[in-house]
Amino acid sequence: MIRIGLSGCGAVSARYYAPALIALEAAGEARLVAVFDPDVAARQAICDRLPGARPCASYEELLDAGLDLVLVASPPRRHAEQVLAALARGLAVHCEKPLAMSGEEAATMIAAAQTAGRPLTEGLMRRQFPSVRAIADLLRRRAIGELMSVEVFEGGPFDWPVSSPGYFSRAESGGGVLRDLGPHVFDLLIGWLGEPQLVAYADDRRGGVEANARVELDFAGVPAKIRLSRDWARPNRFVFHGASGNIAWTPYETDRLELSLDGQSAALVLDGAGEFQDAFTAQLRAAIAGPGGAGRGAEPGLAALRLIDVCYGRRQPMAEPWIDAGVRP
Amino acid sequence: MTCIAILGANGFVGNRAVEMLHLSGQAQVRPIVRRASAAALPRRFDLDVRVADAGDRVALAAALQGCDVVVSAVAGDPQTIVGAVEPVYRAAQDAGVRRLIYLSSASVHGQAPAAGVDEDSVLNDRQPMAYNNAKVQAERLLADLRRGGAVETVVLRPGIVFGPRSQWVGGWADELLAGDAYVVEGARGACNSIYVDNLVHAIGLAAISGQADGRTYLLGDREQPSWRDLYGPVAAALGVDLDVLPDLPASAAAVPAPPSRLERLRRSPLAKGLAGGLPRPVRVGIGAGLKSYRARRGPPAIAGRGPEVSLERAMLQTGTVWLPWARAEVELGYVPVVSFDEGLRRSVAWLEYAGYPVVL
Repeated sequence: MIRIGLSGCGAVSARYYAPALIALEAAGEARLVAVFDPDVAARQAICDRLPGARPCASYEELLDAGLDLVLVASPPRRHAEQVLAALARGLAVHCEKPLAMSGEEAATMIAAAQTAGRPLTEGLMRRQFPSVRAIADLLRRRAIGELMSVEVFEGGPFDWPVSSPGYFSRAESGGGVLRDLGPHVFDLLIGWLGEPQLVAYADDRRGGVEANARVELDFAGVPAKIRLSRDWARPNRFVFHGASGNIAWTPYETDRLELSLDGQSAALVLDGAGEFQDAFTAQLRAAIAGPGGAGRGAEPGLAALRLIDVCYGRRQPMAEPWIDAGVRP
Repeated sequence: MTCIAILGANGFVGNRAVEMLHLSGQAQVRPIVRRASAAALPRRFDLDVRVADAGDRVALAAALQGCDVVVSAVAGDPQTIVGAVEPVYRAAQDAGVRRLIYLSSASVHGQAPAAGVDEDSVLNDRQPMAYNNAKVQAERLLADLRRGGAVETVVLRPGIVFGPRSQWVGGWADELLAGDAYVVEGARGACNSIYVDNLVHAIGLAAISGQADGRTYLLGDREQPSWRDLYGPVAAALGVDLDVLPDLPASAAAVPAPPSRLERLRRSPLAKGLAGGLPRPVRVGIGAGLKSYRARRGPPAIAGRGPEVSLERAMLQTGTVWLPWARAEVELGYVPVVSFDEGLRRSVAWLEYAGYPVVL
C-alpha cells in the first residue's frame, strides 16, 4: 500500500484531501502515515480523522517517515522548497495548485522531478470532472460548429477560510485572484483549446493584490474573454460560442453542462460522474498511479503558470472611473 | 495625519470609505474586517488590514490601537447591529480612540417617514421592520454609552445609499436578470437617495468637525428623486423597460417572509436552465464521452402567482417625504459632492465592469 505524508493542514486539506485520503484508505489503495503543519492543532485535527497518521513537528521529520508520496498542501510560497526536498529524497510528490509562485519556479520543480525520476503532479482536480472531458469531446467533434469565441466569469465574494490577511500578498501567495483561479481556468482552456497568445490583461490592484482581473486571450484566432473576481457575485460560467450553438458550463459542476443548438437548449447530465469530492480522490489516484493514464492526467499545468506570469508582466490597471472620479487629493 | 479605522471595511459603504479616504490622502486608513477572508477587497491597497469581530472588545481594542477615529459600518442581522454597539464603544475607549462615527440609517424614521421628520423626532422601536428597530436601539445604546464614556460619538443617518456594489444597483440588476423584479405603484414614491461618495464625504467631515460630538445627522443627495429615477436607468442599462415590469399595489404587501430554500433553488438560474426537456437536435451533438443524459425534473409551475410584494419595498416606493439634511449642511458643512445623475452614471459603469450585460 502506498504510504503518504501530508504537509499542510489548512482548509483544502481539512475539507477535501482528508476525505480523499479516508476513501483511499478504505479502498486499501493508500494510507496516510505522517502529517506536518506548523499549527499543532491543525495537524492533530487531521490525525484525529486518520488515526493511522503520526503528527510530525517538522517537515524533515515527515520526510523521514518512510513515505512513497508526499502531498504538499502548504501555503504556495512553501511549495517549491518542500517539493524539491521531497524529490531529493526520491519521493513522488503531489502538490496542491498553484504548483509554484511563477512559471520559472514551476519549471525548476518539474526539471528536478525529471532528474530524480519521480512523478510530480499538481492538484488540478477539475481535469477529473466528466463535464470537463465532455466539453473537450464536444469541441473536438465540432458539435457547435466552428468555435467563434469564449467567455468566462469565475469568482465572487471571497470566502475561503484563510488564516490571516497576509494571504492577500504577493509574498505569501504570489498574487491575487489571477494567481488563485488562473491555474484552474487557464489550465482548462489550454487543455481544451491549446496554448493562447495574450491579448490584454488588466487588474484592480493598487499597491496590494488584485481582487478583480480581466484577461483577453487569442486561441489561434478564437478570442476569449476571462473575468475573475473576489469581489462581486455573477453566475460562474464558461461559455463557448460556436457557429451553430453554444456550450455553457458552471465550474464545480462535475456532471452537467448546457448545450444549445439550433435555438434549442438542453441540460446534459452525465451518468456516474460522482460528486465534487470524488475528483479529489481521483486526482490522488492519478498521482499514485503516475504518468501514463488516459487523457490529461495530473501532470503540472506549467503552461497556465507561465501564462499568469505573462499577464502580470503586461498588466494594465482596470479602469474604475467610479473610484477615481470620487477621489480629490 | 488622522488615522481612521473602518469597521466593516469589506462591505459596500466600508469599502468605499477605504477607497476614498485612502486614495485622497485624507487619512491614514486601517480597515478592520470580521474574517481574514474579507480582507480581499481592502488588500487591493497596501494597507494594514486587521481582523476583529465587532462583538469582541479585546480583539477590537487591539486592532484600534493608534487610531484617532473609528467608523462603524458593521452590517448584520438586528442582533448583531445592537450587540456590536457596546463592544465597539468600549474597545474604542480602551484603545484611546477620540471619536466614533456610527453609521445608522434614515430608516429609524421608517421606510415612509412622515412630513416634518428631522433628527429631533421621537423614534419608535416597534416598527414592522426589525432592522429599523435595531438601529433605533443601537442609537439609544450609543447615546447612553456616550453619557458615561470618553469617546465622542457622531451618528449619521443616510437614506438609500446607492452606488457600485449596493443592493439598490447590483441587487436590483440581479432581480431584473432573474425575472424577479417588480415595482410598487409605479415606483413613483420619494426616494431618499444618497450616492455613496456623498456619504463618505460626510464621514470625512464628521471625523474632523468641532461641533459634531453627540450629534445626529440625516444625510441625502441634493436632488429629490423618485424610485423610478433610481430604478429606471439601471433597468434601461440592462435593456429592461421599467414600465413592462409587474406593477403591484402596496396593499398586496404581506408580512415579510423570506423565501424557503426550495423556493430559492427553484428561482436559481441553474434550476431554470435544467428544467427544460431534451429536444432532438441536441441528441445529434452528443459525443462518445457522454454515456447518457437526462433532464432534471423541475418543480411544477405555480400558475397565477406574481412576485411576492415585500412590505419594506411597498413602504419605500409609496413614500411621499424627502428627509431634510440641513443640520449636516450647517454643522458639518456637508454638501453633496456627486449629483444623483452622476452617481447613476458611475453605478452603471460599475455594472458593466462587474460583468453585467449592459446594453447602453
